[in-house]
Amino acid sequence: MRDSLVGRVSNSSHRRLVGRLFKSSRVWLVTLALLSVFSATTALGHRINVIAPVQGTAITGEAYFVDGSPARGAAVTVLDPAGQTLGQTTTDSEGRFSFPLRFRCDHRIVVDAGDGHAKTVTVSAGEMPRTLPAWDGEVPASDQAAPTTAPSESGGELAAQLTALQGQLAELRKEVARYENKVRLHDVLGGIGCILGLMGLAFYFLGVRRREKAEGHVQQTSTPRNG
Amino acid sequence: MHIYESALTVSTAGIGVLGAGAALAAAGTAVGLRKIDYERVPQVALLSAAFFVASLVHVPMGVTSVHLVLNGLVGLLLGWAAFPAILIALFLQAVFFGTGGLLALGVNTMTMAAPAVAVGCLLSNATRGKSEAAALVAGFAAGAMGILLGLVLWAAAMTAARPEFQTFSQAAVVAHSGLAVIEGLVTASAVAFLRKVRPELLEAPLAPARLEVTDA
Repeated sequence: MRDSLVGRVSNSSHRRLVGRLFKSSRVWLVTLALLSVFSATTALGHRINVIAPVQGTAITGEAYFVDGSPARGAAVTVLDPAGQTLGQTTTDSEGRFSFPLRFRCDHRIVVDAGDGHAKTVTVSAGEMPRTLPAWDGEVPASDQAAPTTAPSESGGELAAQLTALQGQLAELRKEVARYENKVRLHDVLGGIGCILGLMGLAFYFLGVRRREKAEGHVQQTSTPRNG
Repeated sequence: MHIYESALTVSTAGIGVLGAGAALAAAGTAVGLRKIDYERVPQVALLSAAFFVASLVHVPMGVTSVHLVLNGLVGLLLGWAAFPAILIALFLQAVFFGTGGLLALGVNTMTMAAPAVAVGCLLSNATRGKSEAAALVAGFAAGAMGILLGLVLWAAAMTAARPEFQTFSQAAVVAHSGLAVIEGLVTASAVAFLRKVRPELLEAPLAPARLEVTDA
């Protein structure tokens, strides 16, 4: 055992080693075992996800970690496009938050779970009801009441249908977000494929250097040696 | 153990930490790339892939769950070459799974690869030594040290960027120290396995270290 650990140190033994490494079925077995382990896992990290759809005249969002658990008591800061704070709130015990809209502009929402996990999402002005006044860049000194929604004035049934539709849309968005964040097998295989590709590149360039070195040796000493 | 870019970009100090991490990681990677010779390429790629996949294996622990990092094992087998191996794996994790984010790539590489190199320098001789017991102890120490040093660097980076997180950072270090035991056991068993099956892998040293082995 000790002999095998210390003795073989020449270049040729290293080349044999590489050959054996590739031939070795054990290496592939280990790789297979790893593959089977991660294909069973879907949860990942502690990344925070935020979905923030507009419902009526409010942004009603939800913050949760990738494993599905809600981000409780996280600080939610709402900024205007210029970075000025429009308001603050916190998430409830289910990770939900609601922010009443007063202006029609892009709202940047920063959810900070307080432990180094933060996420910024932008709610675009296009999603907001056209009845809201445009953003003029100044937060009013005294909080005016949010303007009442126009749909409530024009036909109750239509408004109810619209609210229901918005709710369904919000659910659909949540589903899409969850689907996007699931770790999928092809992502993992893609990553391993990238590593194999890089390995090929490294082999190519190191091989070129090695050959050049060998040719240099041939010219100098006429006995080819590998660098 | 990943640092998220969104946690650092909010403050000037945080941006400084991101920049410093990127510069140090670039330097470490440059050193590491010079140490990779033709024969070691598959080993570096294999361990990079193992590191890439390890973060997906979650171990439930108390109220939270931790995932394997394996930086101790990577450092033990690769030494300085751990830098490029871990950089590539973290880049792919950031691209495919969004862990950490591309801006934090440098900081994350530093917090995980610097302990790996330290472990490789200090303990790799012991893992290929004569004594089986000493090799196992060194393997355990390598896994545990990889995590603990990484946690210290993680907490230092977080505290430098966001002083208000100091208490949280300290708490997180304590909470994750259990992971050090798990990593230690995993690394020790990997060392035991390699000693029986592929001792050359432990032996295959960095290019300059090759001569040291001959002298030993």
